[in-house]
Amino acid sequence: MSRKLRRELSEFLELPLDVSLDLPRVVILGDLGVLIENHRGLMHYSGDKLVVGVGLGQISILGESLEVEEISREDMVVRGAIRTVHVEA
Amino acid sequence: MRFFTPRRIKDYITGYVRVKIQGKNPERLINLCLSANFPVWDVTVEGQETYFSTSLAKYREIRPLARKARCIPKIVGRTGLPFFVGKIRKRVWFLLAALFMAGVLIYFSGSVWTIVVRGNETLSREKLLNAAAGAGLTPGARKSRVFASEVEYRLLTEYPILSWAYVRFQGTVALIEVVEKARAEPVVLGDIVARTDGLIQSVLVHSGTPHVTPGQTVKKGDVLISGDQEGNPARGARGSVLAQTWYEVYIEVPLTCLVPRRTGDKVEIRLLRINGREIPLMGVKRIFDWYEIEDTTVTSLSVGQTGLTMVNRVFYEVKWEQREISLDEAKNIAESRVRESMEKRLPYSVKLVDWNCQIEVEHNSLVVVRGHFSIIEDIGEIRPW
Repeated sequence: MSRKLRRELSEFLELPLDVSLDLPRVVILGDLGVLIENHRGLMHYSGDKLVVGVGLGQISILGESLEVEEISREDMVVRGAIRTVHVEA
Repeated sequence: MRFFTPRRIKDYITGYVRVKIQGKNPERLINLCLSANFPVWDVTVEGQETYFSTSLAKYREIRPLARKARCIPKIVGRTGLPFFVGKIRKRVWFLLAALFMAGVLIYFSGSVWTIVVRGNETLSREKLLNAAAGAGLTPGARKSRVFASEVEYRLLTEYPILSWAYVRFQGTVALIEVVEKARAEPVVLGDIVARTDGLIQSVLVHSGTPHVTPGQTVKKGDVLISGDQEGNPARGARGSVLAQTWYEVYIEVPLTCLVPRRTGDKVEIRLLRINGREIPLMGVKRIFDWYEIEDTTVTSLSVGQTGLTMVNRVFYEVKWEQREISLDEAKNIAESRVRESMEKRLPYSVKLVDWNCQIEVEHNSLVVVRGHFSIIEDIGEIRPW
């Protein structure tokens, strides 16, 4: 089933898109932290940049003193002084 | 890092390690760990090295993953109960000594170290302590063998002057609180006579025969209520007689006064204040005849109920100088002194009816104030037979 069809079907059935389309859910807590659900793993990690793989591409987080407080197969909590969160499809 | 989440407590119990990853692709090792269901948290980067925490049990399985990711993991920190137990096992004597000390502490905290007595007025502390010792309460006694109710009973039966006794323990201190019975004042039989001149306002007789009526003027010493001296038994007069009385206050305030003036000479000392008690740290070579004191707190420390303060005290020498004061200033001083004098002479139970002040200036050098006030008070006092 194509992505477009899945999306239309989900919208028609009022299903959550992140579940049906396997999309990441990103919660930004001010400039203090970022919670990413449904990630695909770390791609790059340094103190001021963190790149996380997601289903549709990657998410880059730029900031200072970045720290991965919790990480599991699906969720990740990033703490630090967050400056930019960039989604690349 | 959150230390007290349920997961962290579980990790602490099972033990966890802090791992340093050396290699070109530490992210790959972390991803492989996640795929292998490793619990991973606190991933940080310091310079070229990446650190993370994982459980002790899982770390033992990290070698093949590290080879796959071409990284070298190295343990840099060990935390948790398994490591603590391991350390303790190597230090048996330390553990035994700690246990012994804890045992000693628990044993001695179960004993009475000091006994504090409160509330005794006529009974001496020693007498109460002896009575308490009779019921087993002595310094060094085990608290579990001393029954507070027994000590209280002993105190009350041995000293009937006590109306209440309470024994409790505060840590290693046994606190004995007592209240002594109040003795009734002896009844004085006699007549009630006027303590001062006045105009009678009301007469209330509890016992005896009244000799005055409201509106009547009495002089000091007049009989107000007489008792029954001939009766069997004889009954003294009792009651209250309210009367209006008048008083005068006379205050003089000179238009010149002495004021202190600093000469510029001073002596500085340091002293230690412990619970209000002062201990000079540096000797005072000389003290002036007249001086003013200025204290500044250098440092202050409070340990429990003991307050420790380091104080810098400066003695400034002063000389008294004559200074002229204005008429208004003198009047204000005089009026405030009249008020003070009135307040001192008026007990709480009296009612102020009227008061006024007459201010006069004599020879341009003295302010004279005459304050008149009238009050309603009980003027009766017992004159014994």
